[in-house]
Amino acid sequence: MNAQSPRFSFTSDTIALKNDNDSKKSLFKVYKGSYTSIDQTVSKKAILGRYSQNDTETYFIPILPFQKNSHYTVVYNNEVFPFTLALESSYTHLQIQALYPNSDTLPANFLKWYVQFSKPINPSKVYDHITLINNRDMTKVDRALLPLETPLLSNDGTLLTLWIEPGRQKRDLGPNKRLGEVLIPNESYTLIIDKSLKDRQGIPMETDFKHSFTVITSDRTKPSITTWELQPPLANTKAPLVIQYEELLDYGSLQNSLHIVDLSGKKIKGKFTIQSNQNKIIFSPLNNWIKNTYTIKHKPIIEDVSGNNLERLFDQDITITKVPPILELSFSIE
Amino acid sequence: MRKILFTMALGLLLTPLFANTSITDGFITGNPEIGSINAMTFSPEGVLFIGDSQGAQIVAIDMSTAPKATNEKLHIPDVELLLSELLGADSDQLQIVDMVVNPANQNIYIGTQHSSGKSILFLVNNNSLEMVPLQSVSYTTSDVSNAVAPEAKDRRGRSLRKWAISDIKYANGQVMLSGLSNAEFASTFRAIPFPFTQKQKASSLEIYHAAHGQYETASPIKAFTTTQINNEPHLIASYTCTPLVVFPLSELKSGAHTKGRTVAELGNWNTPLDIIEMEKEGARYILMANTNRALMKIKVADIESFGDSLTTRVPERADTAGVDFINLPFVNVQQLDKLNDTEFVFIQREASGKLALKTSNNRWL
Repeated sequence: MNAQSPRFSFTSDTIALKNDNDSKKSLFKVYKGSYTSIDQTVSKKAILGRYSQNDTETYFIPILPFQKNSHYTVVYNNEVFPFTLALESSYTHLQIQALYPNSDTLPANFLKWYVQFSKPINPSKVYDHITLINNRDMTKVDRALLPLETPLLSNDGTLLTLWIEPGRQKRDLGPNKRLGEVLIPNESYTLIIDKSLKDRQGIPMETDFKHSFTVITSDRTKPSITTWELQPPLANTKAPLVIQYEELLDYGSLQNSLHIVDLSGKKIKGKFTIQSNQNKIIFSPLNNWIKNTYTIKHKPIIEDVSGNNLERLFDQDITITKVPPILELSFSIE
Repeated sequence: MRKILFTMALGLLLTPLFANTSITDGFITGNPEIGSINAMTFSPEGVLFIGDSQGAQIVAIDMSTAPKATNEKLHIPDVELLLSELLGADSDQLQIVDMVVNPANQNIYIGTQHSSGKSILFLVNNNSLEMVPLQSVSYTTSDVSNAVAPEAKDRRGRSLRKWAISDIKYANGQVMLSGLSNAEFASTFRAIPFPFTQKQKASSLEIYHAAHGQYETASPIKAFTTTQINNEPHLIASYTCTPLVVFPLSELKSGAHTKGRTVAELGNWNTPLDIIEMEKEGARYILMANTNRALMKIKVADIESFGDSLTTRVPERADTAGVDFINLPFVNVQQLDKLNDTEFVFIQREASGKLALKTSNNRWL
């Protein structure tokens, strides 16, 4: 709040003016920026918002909340009243909580990361803050990530998908043939998310996020659930069923892609937890397990980190006959 | 978004009164509760369609009675500065999502999104921007959530899956939508009959791209338009991975595994942003704005006469292949739409760094 403005009070979504005899006659205007004279505001557009009045105060409610640590100026009765809303010292800055996959080795035809942020991020120009560096000469890998003007963010704004440029990962497409795949086997790289990335209040992160990894040969085999290991729980307990697998699987494709039925086909209520960075899926039942034979049903869209799913390879060779995928795994509880 | 020849032809058969009363049947007045403006288009009668990814809906708003804006000597030298002043927010907190022209009156609308998630619609008027209130409008909606994978949530109950609408068009009585999934590299193209009814469901298509005969991949459509090719209505679409493809609209059947006929590859790391059609002296042209290339011009007749698909190997030109296209001297065009029969309007990142709204005309065709 600004000391020069005893009659005004400022919050991020309202400016209130104590009424005097003039208040009913003229409204105040608000400009972005700090100005010391009215002349400086003449060529500027006032901030859009709505006004309301009661007996004691006049209010301005901007369409968007005022940003923290930014300068604004109120113009009222030929006077200027600059103000700034300070960021609270207790403010919790944006952080990266998880990267999926976070493996330190990735196949050359690796397709996408998911970045889990601690709170919703500013969706504008997200990809400008993200680079891939080749560790050999610390140079930026050109055209590595798909630059979408609308970023692929979950509805709550906290989970960002980063696609490796798909045109370069698809065999035989122009970019693949001319530039090759983005990632070269035996080279190592660092994904950097710059701290300049902001949250929805316009406040940046405090530190850069870095993740280094080494590239191995491309994965051109479909994942198969037949190699998954189950640790069945005991009957009459609510112990979780733990599914362990060896191959790196895609975090996003595992969400909502499994369910469990008993012999009669009845769906078992409970919750799946995807721990793809630990190669693990955990199912916690709502009710006690009873002795029965159960089947885990999988959607064919479950894919590995190279975009090969249970049913088809990311770039399917259409000269090879398709084999139907195995989508069910059974286990018994004794 | 684009004026489309065959829907125009259809429109001409109907009197404007009849067209308006029938097309806005079932519209109600109120607040459509738009979660986000992600893509916009107009019907020839002046119905604005907004693709709302956040709300998983298409919102149709009747703009046919909106007063005509003054757009003489159209030029806004710094749209970002103007938006920043009007909204009191830094430029990096604001994004222009789409720009569309109402073909009924040439009004230009700009959809913007603030980092808070709030979307705001502006009308270009007198070389400035006026906010278009959406709290009380004549509208109808269609849910697109049933066409999307079921809501996946993590253990804290946060939703994970997202279908981000990338483009929307209206033609032949259908609203068409393309989108990208954040979880799978799947093609998600939908067509929904308009006027919307409760019972109608979006038809969902699987679209694949076959590269030189051997490999095929699911291919999300980034931008598209519709046009007549050899007297049949076609979709001209561009994938995120650069090929330009055409499909007869009649082949777009729900659940079908459809392969587009590739007519060109448009160059490395190039994502198309907007595709429009313009006409000059009886010849039709596709104009395409791109992330990493100049504005491209393609003659529709060349697409019509291009018999082969690029699924067979073709000798490559320097960087691209397929039908001929010409790079026009407009680089970094981020938004593009047809303004009238002879002009197009665009938003361009200039060498100075400023984002300018300008017009040009069919002397470039």
